[in-house]
Amino acid sequence: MNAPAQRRLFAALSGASWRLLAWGALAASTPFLVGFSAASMFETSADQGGGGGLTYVGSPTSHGLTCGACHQGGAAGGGLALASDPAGLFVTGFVPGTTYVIAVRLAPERKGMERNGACKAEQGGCNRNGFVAEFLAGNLDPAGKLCTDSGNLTDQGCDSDAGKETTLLSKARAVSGLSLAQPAICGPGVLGDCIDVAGLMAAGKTQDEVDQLLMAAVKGRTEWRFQWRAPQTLGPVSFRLGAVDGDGGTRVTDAHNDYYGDDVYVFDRTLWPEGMQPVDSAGCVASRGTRRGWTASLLILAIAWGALLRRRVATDHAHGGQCR
Amino acid sequence: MLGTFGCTLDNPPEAMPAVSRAAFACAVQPILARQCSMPACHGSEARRLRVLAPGRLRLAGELAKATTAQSQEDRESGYHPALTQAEIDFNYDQARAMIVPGQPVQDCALLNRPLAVSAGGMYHAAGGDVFPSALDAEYLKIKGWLLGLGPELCK
Repeated sequence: MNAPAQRRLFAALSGASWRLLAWGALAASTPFLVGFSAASMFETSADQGGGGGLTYVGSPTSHGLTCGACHQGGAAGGGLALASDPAGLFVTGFVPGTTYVIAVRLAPERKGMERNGACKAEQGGCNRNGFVAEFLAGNLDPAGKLCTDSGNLTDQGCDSDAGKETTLLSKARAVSGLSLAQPAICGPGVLGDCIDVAGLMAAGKTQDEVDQLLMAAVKGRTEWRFQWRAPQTLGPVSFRLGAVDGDGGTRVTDAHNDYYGDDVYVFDRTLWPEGMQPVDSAGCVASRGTRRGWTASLLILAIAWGALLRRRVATDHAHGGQCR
Repeated sequence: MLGTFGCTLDNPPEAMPAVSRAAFACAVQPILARQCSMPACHGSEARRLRVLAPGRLRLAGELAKATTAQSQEDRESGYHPALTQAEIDFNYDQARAMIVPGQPVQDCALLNRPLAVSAGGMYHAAGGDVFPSALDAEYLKIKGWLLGLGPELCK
C-alpha cells in the first residue's frame, strides 16, 4: 500500500465518530496503527513502519524471524491453547481435503489487562494481542487453503480477506488475528454479555456517556478462530504460529504501544495426513513442537471449547505424556 | 617535548568510502529497514551496525522533529513518521562504515553476513540467512551500491 493510500486508510479507521453506535462503526473507530497490531501492517513497507511482507512466524519465508525479533522482555508463565474442529488435527494429523476450524487462545492472558478499554492515541497504549499462522508445503507454497473465521471457504479459496476475528495476509499465505475485541450490542440473536445501548438511552444516558461505556468495554482479544482446508496431497505440512500477549506499554512514544515486556509464543509442528505420521522407536508419534522465545514455557493445551466449537475437541499436549 | 613538536599519528583515520548517498537512500535503506531493523537485530543501540526505521529505533531528537512535522490527523492515527534526512544520513554512515578499503566486495559484512551459510555466507544469528543466494535481487542491489553504482540502482 502506498503512503497516501495508507494514510487515507488510517484516517478512515481512526477518525470515524464514536457517535455511531453500530458494532462495525465501533470497530472502525478504534485507533488502528499501533505496532503490528493491525494485520495490514505486516504488509506495509518497512519504510512506513510495517513488516514489508514478513510474517514473523519463524518460517523460511521470513528467513526464520519470529515475533521475538521485535517483541522482547516478556516473562515465563503464560500459555497458548490450540484446538481444532474436527478434533485431532494437532494430535493425529489431518484428513486430506477436510476443512478445520482452528481456535487459538491465550491461556491465560497475562499482560495488559489493566489497559483494557479502547485507546485513543493521545491516551497512550492499550491492551492488544495478536497472532499469525502459516501452513507451508515443502516447496514453501501455501499448503491447503486458509480462510477467516467468518469467510466462505470454497474450492477457489476464501471469499473475503477480512473476518470478525481474523484476517488473511499475503494473498492468503498467512492468517492474522485482530488485536481488539469489541463489545457486543444487545439485540435480537445476541447471546451472552452485551451492552444494552437502547436501554441505556431510554434510561436517560447521554450519547457521550454511552460512547464512554462502549469504549471502556473494548478489550484485547484473547481468542481467535480461522479455517483451514487441508491439502488433498499426502505430504507433510509445516504449521507455524507466532502469538503476542501485549502489555499495552508506551515506552517508545505516547502514541504507540511498544514491543518491550510482551509475552511471545512460537509454535511449529509438522502435520501429517492421519496414519502417516512417523513413529519413533518408543512407539511415540514424532512431533516438532518447540519451546523457545522470551516466555520460557510454550504450553499447548486443548480446551474443550464447547461454547465456541459446539463439539468436543481432542487434547493436544505438545510436551505432555511420555512422548516428547 | 610534546608541547614543542606536537603529536602525530602513524595511523590516521581513513576517509569514509565515497559510495552514493542517493543510491543508499532509495535502494539500500529500504532493504536494511525491512530485513535488519528489528529491535532484537540491528534496531538496537547494542549493535555495531545500527539501523534506524519508522516504528523502530529512532534518534530521539529527530523523532520529535518528525512527529511535530506530522499533521494532527496523522499523529492521532498513530502513523509512523518517516525518517528524517539526518536519520537517513545516520544509516548511510553506519552502512558505509562496514566497508573495509581493499577488501573484496563479497567479503563486506553487509553482504556476507546476511547471505545464507549454504550459499557461502557467514553465520551471524538465528534467522540471519536473509539472502538465499548471491543472485538474490536485494543482495545484488547492496553489492551494486558497494561497487559504486549510483541512482540507477533505484530503478
